[in-house]
Amino acid sequence: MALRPLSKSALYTRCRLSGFPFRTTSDLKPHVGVLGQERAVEALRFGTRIKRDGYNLFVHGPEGTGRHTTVREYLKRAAQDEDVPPDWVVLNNFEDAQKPLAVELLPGRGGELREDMSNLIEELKTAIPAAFDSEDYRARRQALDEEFKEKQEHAFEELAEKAKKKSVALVRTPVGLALAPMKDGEVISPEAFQGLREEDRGRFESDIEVLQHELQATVRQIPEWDKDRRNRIRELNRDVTAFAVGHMIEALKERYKEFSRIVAYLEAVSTDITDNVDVFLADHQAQMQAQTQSPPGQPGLPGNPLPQLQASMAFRRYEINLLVDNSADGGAPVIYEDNPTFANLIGRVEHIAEMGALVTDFGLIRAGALHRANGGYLIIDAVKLLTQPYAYEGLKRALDSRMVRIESLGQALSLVSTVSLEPEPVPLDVKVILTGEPRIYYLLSVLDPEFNDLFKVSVDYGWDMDRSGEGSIAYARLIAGLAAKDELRPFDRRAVARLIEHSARIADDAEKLSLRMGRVTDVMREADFWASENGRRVVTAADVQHAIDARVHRVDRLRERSQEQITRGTVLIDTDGERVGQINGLAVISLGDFSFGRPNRITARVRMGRGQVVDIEREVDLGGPLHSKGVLILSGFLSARYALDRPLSLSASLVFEQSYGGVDGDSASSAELYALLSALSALSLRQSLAVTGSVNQQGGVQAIGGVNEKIEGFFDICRERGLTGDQGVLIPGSNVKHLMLRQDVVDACGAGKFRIFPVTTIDEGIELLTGRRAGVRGRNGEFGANTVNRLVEDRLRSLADDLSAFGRRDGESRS
Amino acid sequence: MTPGQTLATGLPEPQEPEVYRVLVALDATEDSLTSLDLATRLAAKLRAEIEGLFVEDINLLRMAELPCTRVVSVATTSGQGLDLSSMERELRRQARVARDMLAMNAERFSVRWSFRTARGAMASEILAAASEADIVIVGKSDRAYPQRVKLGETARTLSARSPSAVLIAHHRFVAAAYSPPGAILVAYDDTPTGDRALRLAARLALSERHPITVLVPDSKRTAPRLEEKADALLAAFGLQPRFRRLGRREAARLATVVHAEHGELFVLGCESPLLRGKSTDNVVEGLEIPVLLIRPGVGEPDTDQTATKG
Repeated sequence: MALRPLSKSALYTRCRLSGFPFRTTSDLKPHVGVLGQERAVEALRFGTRIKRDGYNLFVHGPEGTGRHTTVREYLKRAAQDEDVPPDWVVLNNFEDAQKPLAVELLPGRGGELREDMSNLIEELKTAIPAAFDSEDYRARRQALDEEFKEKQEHAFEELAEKAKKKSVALVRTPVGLALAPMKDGEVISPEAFQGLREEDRGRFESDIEVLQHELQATVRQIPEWDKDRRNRIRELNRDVTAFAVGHMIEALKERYKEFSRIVAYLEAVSTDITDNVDVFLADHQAQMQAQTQSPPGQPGLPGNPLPQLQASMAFRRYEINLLVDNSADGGAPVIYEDNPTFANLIGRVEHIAEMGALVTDFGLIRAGALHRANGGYLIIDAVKLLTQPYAYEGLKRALDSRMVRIESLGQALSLVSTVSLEPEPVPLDVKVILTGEPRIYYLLSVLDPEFNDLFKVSVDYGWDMDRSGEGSIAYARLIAGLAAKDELRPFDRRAVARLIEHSARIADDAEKLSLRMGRVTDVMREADFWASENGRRVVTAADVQHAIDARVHRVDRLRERSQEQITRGTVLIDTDGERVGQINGLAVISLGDFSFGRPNRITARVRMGRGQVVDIEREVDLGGPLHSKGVLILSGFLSARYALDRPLSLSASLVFEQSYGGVDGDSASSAELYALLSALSALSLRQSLAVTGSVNQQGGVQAIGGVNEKIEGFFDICRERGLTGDQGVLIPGSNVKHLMLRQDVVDACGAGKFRIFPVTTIDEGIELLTGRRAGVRGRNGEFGANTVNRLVEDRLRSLADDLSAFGRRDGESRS
Repeated sequence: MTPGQTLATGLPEPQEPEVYRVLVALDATEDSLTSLDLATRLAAKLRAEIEGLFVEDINLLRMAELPCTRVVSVATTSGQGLDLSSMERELRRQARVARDMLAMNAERFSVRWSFRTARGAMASEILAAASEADIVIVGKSDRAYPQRVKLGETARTLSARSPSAVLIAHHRFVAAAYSPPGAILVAYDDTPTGDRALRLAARLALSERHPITVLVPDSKRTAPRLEEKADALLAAFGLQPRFRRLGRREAARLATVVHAEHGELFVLGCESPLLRGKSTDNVVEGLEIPVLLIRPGVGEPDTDQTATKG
């Protein structure tokens, strides 16, 4: 019984409008959240709720399934009900500035502390100079200075008086204090000195010597007196500063009394300010100078900015570096790190240029994504993470140690030994969610032994869902939700139906709907645009179709070019007539999101040989492993069916004519087998038919991918040359459920101008292609006369006999 | 700015005593630094040029020639003899230091400057150089002990005989440096030097926005008129003075008044009634801030000199 072509209804599964109880999507309750990903959602829920080490998540699924968006939205909802984590501040360590302190405070208190410290320092900038400018201080300070000066002067003047009685002058000179003889209140001239009697000169010399010793004794006391003065001034400064600072610091200690480390820090601040009061005084002095030196109307313009700069740098030590501010968050943080470099993840210590050198301090420590996400969730794209040097290693180390230790990459790898900051590490409690394609997940699982310990939860996103009645209505609600979210016009029920049908086409399956919502949403947005262009308030099926067609048109230049090469005869494809050993195979070419089918001439030649089927594509490295596998299966089929009692004595060559790129997949193996059978039987094949489908060793035809594109590719060529009604495509019967063909193809088939044959065996196919019965073995073990199989078997026997005879002749000639 | 030009206040600039050259006596000591800083600021305020004079004191050179002179280093307490060549070398080094300090200060304040050295008696050399300057600045104290007499011989000589105004510098305490700019105090009276003192004080106060306090004799007859006159003159500079009338008792305790008024500089005409019946030296000696003594002749038209310097 001849194989019948598929009916029109089998070529395209329409959406039944009767199942849609709405006019437009406005009437529908929009679906919010994830659809058709129950397994993934359950895993996500489990992974986020279990609070154990290593239960981090890897969300994997194809691009466009909305895994990023849905995970973020899910986490944001889940995080809202969780506790807000603490603020973290980095403080100057007054005991060891190289090791800044990391301190946690209740959410919002970090910002308050920063503000309070800033206010404190601003107040002290005024209060301390005011205290030092008080009459009381100035008087006490002046008294100390005068006491020292008077003590010194008194000692010298006492000595000067004593010297004067002996007519010796005490004079300050550039090289020290000099003792010289004088007369009438003036230093005696050298001439007059020489004119003195020798005994007078001798008396002067002895007196001066005695006075010199006394002077030396006096001078020796000066450093002691000065030291005493400095100590007393320091004590005075401490008292004054402590008075100015004390009550302010005490007020802050009371305000932060529940944070013991902050209280200890404030005490250290108090001590440090007392020890470095000069900074406040110098700053005030610089401010005053700036005011006096700047023109009216420009207060504060400094004449010499250096003192102010130095002062502002000195004040930095009292600033609070608010590393993590959770004051505004209404739950646990959900952070997505778009650029997961090593430094962006674990934080960094920045530097500033100062006097030609790069310097840093605790104020230049910056939080990483792990700090910001601490107490919550951190989402990272796995590919981005893995392509950043050492970022994955840094993340694993932090998760493993449950601490975030800010260090440069150079420090982490021990590449540099420069002295830098070693901030106190911050305890880490974060749930990391990696997202990526499944192959990344499986590669990491296999290649990284630590991965499975750290990412124990797999969240597996599927790419399609069942297109049952319930599925379609749920999908319609999802479309309504997407339209509402993107503020699109409502879609009428026919438009929704068309979208669902398009989704099935994207899924490459009439019984499934695609969950790669990115592509569906794009079509919706574009349909909305065309509705707008056409002045419609509601998106119709025509708008959806327009969007799909326009989308295809924008990207199908190469398809047109490829088709043009065939129709112009550059690439040789016959669509009528009959040929021996020649058949039309079908291939799919993928250009990103767009794929199209293209016929390829496949030819086969046979001759006597040792059972080899030569795949010419493979010989020149243009054939992939799956293609080679398909060709090798042909040998198995031939041997099993025709050469059970004698060796397979042929040498066959198969080639994709005019193929200049690579070929892979086994979807052409049935076509290759038909060409081979044709070449063996010398029966010609109908060129008006194209073939796709893989074959097994028993001669069964198996499903392939891209069936719709392949059919449409051959249809386009035939339509260009004129549909005859004789043209068509042989597809595997198991691919019928995948058919969602273009409307023009469906219409042509409905009109009998084009035909799709579902083939389940090679025998069915060869009968269609040759118009001759395939033939089955009779009781005598032979195929029926003039059947395809009989002709093939006869030819193989003939080749075997010829090979045997050739072997004998060859042996005799050798002997 | 030339007379007749408009000030930032919009008022016409009054006729004022011109100061073209400020002479500062230097010896590279701490007191000398105070003098230099004062001199440079003063020259900048008055848009005058500054001349540094380093005098190689002949008395020091003589002392170095005496065989029995002994010198004790304050830094090391070591005692040793003194010789002329080392003293000369030290004086040359000090001169270089003084020159460098002058150059640095002058460049910081964008003031034209020159520097020279002279050898001789300190007071007479400075006095000789003072004839070429409009204001001469000297330190308050001298090298010689005893220093209970706070005003040194050089300052005494200059205040008595200088043909130009004399600014006697005084080292201030460090603590006071944290304070806002102190007031310019000026003694105003009916004398020509009093008038010049007020104008000069106004220019100095204007440049750094110092407060200005005008001290007038407490006389019912003259005080209101003097205050009105001073107010008008200072208003032309955009200044709002504070007035303080000094009775005899306060005039006798000028140091207390200066301290109470937070004075930073005292400008005083030599003909001021405050000096009547007193020694100028004693008055200056009692004050612990720099004093600018306006001598008769400063700012008087001197066609030849103006032409040369202009």
